[in-house]
Amino acid sequence: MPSLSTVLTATRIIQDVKRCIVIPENDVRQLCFLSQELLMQESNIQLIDTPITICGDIHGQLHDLLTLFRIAKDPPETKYLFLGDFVDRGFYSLETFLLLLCYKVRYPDRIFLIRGNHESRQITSVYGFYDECLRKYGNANVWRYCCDVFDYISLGAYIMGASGESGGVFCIHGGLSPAVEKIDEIRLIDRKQEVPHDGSMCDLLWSDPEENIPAWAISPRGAGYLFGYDETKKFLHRNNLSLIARAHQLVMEGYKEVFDHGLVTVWSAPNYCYRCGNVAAVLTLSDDLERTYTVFDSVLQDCNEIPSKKPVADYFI
Amino acid sequence: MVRTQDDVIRSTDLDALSCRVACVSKGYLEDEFLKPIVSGLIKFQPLYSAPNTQFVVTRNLKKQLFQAKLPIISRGSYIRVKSIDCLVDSFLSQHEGTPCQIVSLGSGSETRPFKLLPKYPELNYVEIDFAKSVKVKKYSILADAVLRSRLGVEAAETIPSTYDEFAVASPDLHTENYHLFSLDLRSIDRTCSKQTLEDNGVKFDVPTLILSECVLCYLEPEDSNRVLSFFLREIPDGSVIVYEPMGGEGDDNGKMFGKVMEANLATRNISLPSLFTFGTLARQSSRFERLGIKKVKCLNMETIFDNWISPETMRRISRLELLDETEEWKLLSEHYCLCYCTWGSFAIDKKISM
Ligand SMILES: C[S@@+](CC[C@H](N)C(=O)[O-])C[C@H]1O[C@@H](n2cnc3c(N)ncnc32)[C@H](O)[C@@H]1O
Repeated sequence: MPSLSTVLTATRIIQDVKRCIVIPENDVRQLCFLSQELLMQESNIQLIDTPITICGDIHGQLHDLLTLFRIAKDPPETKYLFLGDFVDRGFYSLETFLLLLCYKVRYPDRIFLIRGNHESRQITSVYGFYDECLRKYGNANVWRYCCDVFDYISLGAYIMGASGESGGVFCIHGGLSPAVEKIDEIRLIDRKQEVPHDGSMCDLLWSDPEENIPAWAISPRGAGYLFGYDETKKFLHRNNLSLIARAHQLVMEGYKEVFDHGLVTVWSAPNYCYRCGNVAAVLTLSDDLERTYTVFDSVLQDCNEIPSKKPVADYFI
Repeated sequence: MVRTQDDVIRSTDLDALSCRVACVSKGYLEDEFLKPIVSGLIKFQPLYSAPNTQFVVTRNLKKQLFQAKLPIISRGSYIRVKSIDCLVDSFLSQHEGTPCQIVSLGSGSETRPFKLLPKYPELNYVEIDFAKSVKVKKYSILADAVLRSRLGVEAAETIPSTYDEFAVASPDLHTENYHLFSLDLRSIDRTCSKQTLEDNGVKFDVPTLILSECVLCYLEPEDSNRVLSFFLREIPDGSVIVYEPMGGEGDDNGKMFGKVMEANLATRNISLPSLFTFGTLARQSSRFERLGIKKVKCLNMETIFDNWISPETMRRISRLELLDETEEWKLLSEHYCLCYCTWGSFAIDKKISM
């Protein structure tokens, strides 16, 4: 049970974030500290039961996240699993991350977060979150507090069906790793660190499925692997799974099932980077693991109180 | 300063330039002439503004020019510059030792003439842009000893340094084989005749390569067709390279990328009138074929990136920075094309490798 003061702080920050009021540095620090305490206790692979709504990349698109909550209902009414990549690219990474953390400390059993490859110091210094914090606060403290939280976010989730042990759903940001055969092996990773450049933890956050290859191939991203049909089938079988749910890749239709419906990519950032023109989706799994996809489109609102650059996307012009 | 629609279009050169600056600083490209061109721009462009606002203009210019770029933008700018460089090199090496010409439409802050003219003594290089852009480039050249020496230009007696001096300075710069002159491209074959172009150094009797690197896309389709038809009619041995975005076609899904791009650029007041008219590779090809050009090649930049880069180069550039945006790269790069076509002696089938 969260303490009364935690509840009060979280509730206040949720309201302020929604109204686009800058959250004082000290509050961010406190929230990050509370979140860290909480996330620290979670295991690398969290066990979650149904029904659950699974969301893919958000990438700082706060207004679209608010739309998502409007459509699929705010926590705690709906139970959520976010597959990582909360920050970078969009112009409201900080608010997005803080909102998710507030819900987490307020309703720890109704919202689950797992780590994406963007929840890293190195990537956020390139893709916008660092710059955003610097712009909004004039210093990097807030970015540092958030990065410290990143290190504690768990790596994946296992969703049990009503029938108990068999046919569950494995949830991860990127995908498989040649170094991981059984989900249990992931439990042994020491995750409390910056995302490494190689090895199983890196692969789980960086890899992508690829329909045109059977097994493993080098990834064009420079980290992780491409994995094909055969490897996916083997992994599903070995771990007694019915589905791998992951995010990490832009899908124009919001979601895409491949490998005989054995793997799905869920993408929850509509009109990604204010440039891609895609729709977004979330996946809801019922008690008997039936899949329902809810597709939604982007909204463009101005958030005047927060000093931020206008969403002007870059082109070659 | 009143900002006209032409000023808005002119400002797109800053985008292109800032991308090249990022490419050079990250190690994708080498360009020793970028620095003097950038310093010249920072020095002279503000002279169009009232003296009391010049420092603001300078500050904004610097901010824009040195802005950090995302990895996909660096990669896309790299492939844009490099693929055109390769085609230009192929054209020039095919005509080595004989007179030939490059006419760069809307050349902006391009640096190719500084690299190419000393290397190809028989080359005539013509750069055309709006007067305000041309004037900035002219004085950037005159103010820098390296750029001057590459073109064989004498040092100027005086270089304007105030609003008033700059306002009356003449924009054009001509040497024997380098011609930088001001012209609104839309006036070609209307108020601007063949004679005017000849008077400004354009030759009509040598093998000529016309470049449009993100330029004709700012014209109405009829205007860009008229410009191309004019050169097709007047130059017996000619070739064209066009690089530009394509908006897609068909239903909302097919046009989605273009529609979003249109809306995004509209916030800066920029419009791309032929984005959908020439919105696909097929539409691009048929635009040239309809003008009567027989040998036409149009590729999207994804194809070029995947096929023109040698394994060594690919290894080199993939090491420069982590590119996490693979699907976005695909989406972006397939919406840009490089078309090259000829009605003359340019052998466009030669395999390119960079
Ligand atoms: C995006 S910039 C490209 C500059 C250069 N070609 C490059 O790729 O780096 C477009 C250029 O075309 C020029 N331009 C556009 N419309 C023009 C017109 N009607 N007449 C002359 N120049 C024009 C602009 O002034 C600008 O310098």
